Amino acid sequence: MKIQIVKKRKPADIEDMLKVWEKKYGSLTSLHQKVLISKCTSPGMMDDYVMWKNLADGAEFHDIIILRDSEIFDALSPRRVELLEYLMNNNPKSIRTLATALHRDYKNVYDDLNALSKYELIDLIPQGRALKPAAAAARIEITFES
Amino acid sequence: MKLTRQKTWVHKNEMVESLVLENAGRIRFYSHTYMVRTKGRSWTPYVKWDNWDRQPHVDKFDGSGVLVEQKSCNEKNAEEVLKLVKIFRKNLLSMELSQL
Repeated sequence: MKIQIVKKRKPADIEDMLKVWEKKYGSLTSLHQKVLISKCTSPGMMDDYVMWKNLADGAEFHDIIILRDSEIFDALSPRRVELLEYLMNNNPKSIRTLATALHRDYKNVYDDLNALSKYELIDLIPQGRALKPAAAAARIEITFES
Repeated sequence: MKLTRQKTWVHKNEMVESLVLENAGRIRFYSHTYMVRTKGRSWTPYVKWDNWDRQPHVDKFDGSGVLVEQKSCNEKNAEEVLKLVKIFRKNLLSMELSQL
């Protein structure tokens, strides 16, 4: 079985990614220089350069997560799937609001959100001192493979 | 241009991250990195297939992310890399790249 999650990527998300790289590397030119010098010794840098350059040039971006290993499916208990479904259709302000809406204990909801965020199925966006949970997936597809 | 980032979880703390850049259906750049998550929650690359500078090759890193071996190889797509990783994931660090 294969679960494919197609992530939501709004223009604001792309802007955020560009800002993160700018903060990390300074400029695209400086990152390019670093990649040319380090070549394959810094694999993450090379990928960041390709992404930064092409996203800044307006490339169409597809961000996909695939879960294949059966152990990973532990992350998708019925309660967690319910959380995912709720987040795909609602926009709670905080974890506490979400827990109240689902009539669940705050700590259990917090633990479930952490487990889901580990696989990037949801985003926990810092807002002041609180974390705002949001669905990262625009679409989830399940395929049975032979 | 179309840029696709695909993260495939192959085990609890292991994934293959693929980045593919296409233009009019032709692949301009690809990289497929098999990574393992360490205790500190950071990801360490173990093996990476890519065509940087239009030269398809494979790189092997040690357990701390330092490049230890590099070999040219045929172009690989994500499915081919996933097959190799599934078969060899337990021995990738000790294998020679020519065996891949």
